[in-house]
Amino acid sequence: MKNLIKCELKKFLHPLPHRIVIAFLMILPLLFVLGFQYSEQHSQVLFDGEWVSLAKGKQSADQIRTDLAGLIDESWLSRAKTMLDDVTNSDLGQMDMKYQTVSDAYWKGKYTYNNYETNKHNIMTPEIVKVDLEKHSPVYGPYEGWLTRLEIFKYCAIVYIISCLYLFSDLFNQEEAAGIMDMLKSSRMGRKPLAFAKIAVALIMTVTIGLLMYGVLALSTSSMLNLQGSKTTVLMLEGAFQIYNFKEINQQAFLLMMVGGVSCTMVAAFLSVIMKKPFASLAGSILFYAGPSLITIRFFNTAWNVFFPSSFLNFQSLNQLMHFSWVQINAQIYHRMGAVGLIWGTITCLLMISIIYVHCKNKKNYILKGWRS
Amino acid sequence: MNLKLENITKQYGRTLAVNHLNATLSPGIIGLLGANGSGKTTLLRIIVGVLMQDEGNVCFGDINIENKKEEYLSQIGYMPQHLGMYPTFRVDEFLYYMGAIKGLTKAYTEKRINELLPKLHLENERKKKVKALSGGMRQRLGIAQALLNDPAFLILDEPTAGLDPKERNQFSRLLSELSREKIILLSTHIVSDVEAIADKIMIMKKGSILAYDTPQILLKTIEGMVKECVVSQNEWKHWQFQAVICSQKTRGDGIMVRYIDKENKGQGEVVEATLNDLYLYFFEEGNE
Repeated sequence: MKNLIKCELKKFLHPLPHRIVIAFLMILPLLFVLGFQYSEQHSQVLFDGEWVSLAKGKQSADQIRTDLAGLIDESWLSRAKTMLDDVTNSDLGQMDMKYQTVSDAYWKGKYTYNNYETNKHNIMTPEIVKVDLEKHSPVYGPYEGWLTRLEIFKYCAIVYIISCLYLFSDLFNQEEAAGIMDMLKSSRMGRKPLAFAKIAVALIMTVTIGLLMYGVLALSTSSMLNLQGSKTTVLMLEGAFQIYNFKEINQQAFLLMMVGGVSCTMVAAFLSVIMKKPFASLAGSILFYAGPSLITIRFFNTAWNVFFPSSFLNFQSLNQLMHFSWVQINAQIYHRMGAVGLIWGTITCLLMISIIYVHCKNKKNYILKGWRS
Repeated sequence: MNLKLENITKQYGRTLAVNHLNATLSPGIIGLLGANGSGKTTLLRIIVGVLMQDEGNVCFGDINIENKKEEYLSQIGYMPQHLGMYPTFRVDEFLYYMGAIKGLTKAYTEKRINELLPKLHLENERKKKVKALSGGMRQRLGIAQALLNDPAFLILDEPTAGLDPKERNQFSRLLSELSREKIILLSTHIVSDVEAIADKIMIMKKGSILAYDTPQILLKTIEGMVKECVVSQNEWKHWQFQAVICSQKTRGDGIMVRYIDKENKGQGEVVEATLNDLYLYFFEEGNE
């Protein structure tokens, strides 16, 4: 079995397009970081009455946030209010980044503080939320580097998921396309063990590529961006109260990316079993990934699609992962991350079983059309 | 060890591809002859376990292969009619991969590759990509993968397609060498492929076995029926629709015709029958 997995792994890495895609994923975070830096160097903002580069402006804004860093309580609010009054009295316009930074800090801090306090004492607040609010106090601090990192993470995660769909959408039907099926089926390890080996390779490669890409992302962002303020609570989103800080959000985003990668790989592999043509299974996989988002944009604004990888990874302005920490299912409140993990873990396991079952079935009663011995 | 086919039946919709077929295959080369669509490939796919029969059993020795499929599959080597391969693989990479699929260790696969590549005249192509191989080389690579596990039962479906005469000759010699202890089932519709090397011939038509015996005994079926004579152009117009013509050759004095005279009433000199004559006897147009 070990030998079979090794051979299957070698076969997976054999086609040039596969190697190109993997290599591209490895340098993608670095390209994004360089792209963001370039763009920030070449954009101008007004800071303290002077035009400076966006990078410099963000750096100065983060310095103000560092000065204001701390637990959001009444003393913090009074400190921020004083700073806002000083800035307002110095005749800085609302276009000025310094003004925006201080104003944003005060008003969002105030809103968050009130929100936390109100919800903590509100009898309508679900118990699970109250417990979380007790455990996680809001903290203010710098965050520009983390915002950039999460933005890069978002794009990388989307490319990673689409790459997984591409890489594994011909996992099982490539043999059919190569006309090698009869040779495999007449061999001792050509059925169930081969199916296991293929799934093992798909899982190994999905996880390895994800880990390596994340490693490159972590290294390049930590060396090129200012990642102070990992304990800063995500406060920027109005209309919601958020308990996690940037470091926790980053960990959750990483886990979501891995869950999304593995689940999309399994979906692609499953489609490659039930569809004979590789391009059909690729098209099916892409549709599965992108379809729910497209439908939502056009027609609905419902919650049913929040569990699709395309939805939970495509956190526009981080509004999926960072907006709410909880999700409501059948009038019950759950932690978003746990619910996503549970649902996709279950689907992935069921798909794995189905893949092996369908692949190994060699009798007349096929459970799905299109797969023939 | 023998392979027994007991009442094998396979139907595709309303078409009966294999019809209650019984046979026992013993060590040696068995030539499976039949026209296209006679059920040869279906039978072979059932034997190698790729396809499930609707009725009947395949037994290797006394064991029903359904009960010990893994053990059975480790004893067979199969080269299908439509030979697909991964085009970007090199020859040795493909064989290593097939070795893993057959459950062989890397060391054993390597040993077998070193033995087989020179035998099949593929040693110089060892590092070539599969997509760069000629049709004949690909066929030989197909045979190499079938022989990789040193099978007791070798099943070859149209193995000589794409081989030139020299390669066919080499291939026949190789099969003869291998046939001492193995059952080799060679499916073809080209009679000359099996004429010189087959110990037994199985003739299939419409899913049934018409004949299964040694070539010598089978040839007795048409003994005295094969005749040769010279006919004029006018006579030939009637002849070609009335008799089973084995061959014809235009000469200065008319047309030399070799034909099968089933009722032994026709003109001409009786000549020695060949397997080609036998094939035409079974597959003459009127009987199709």
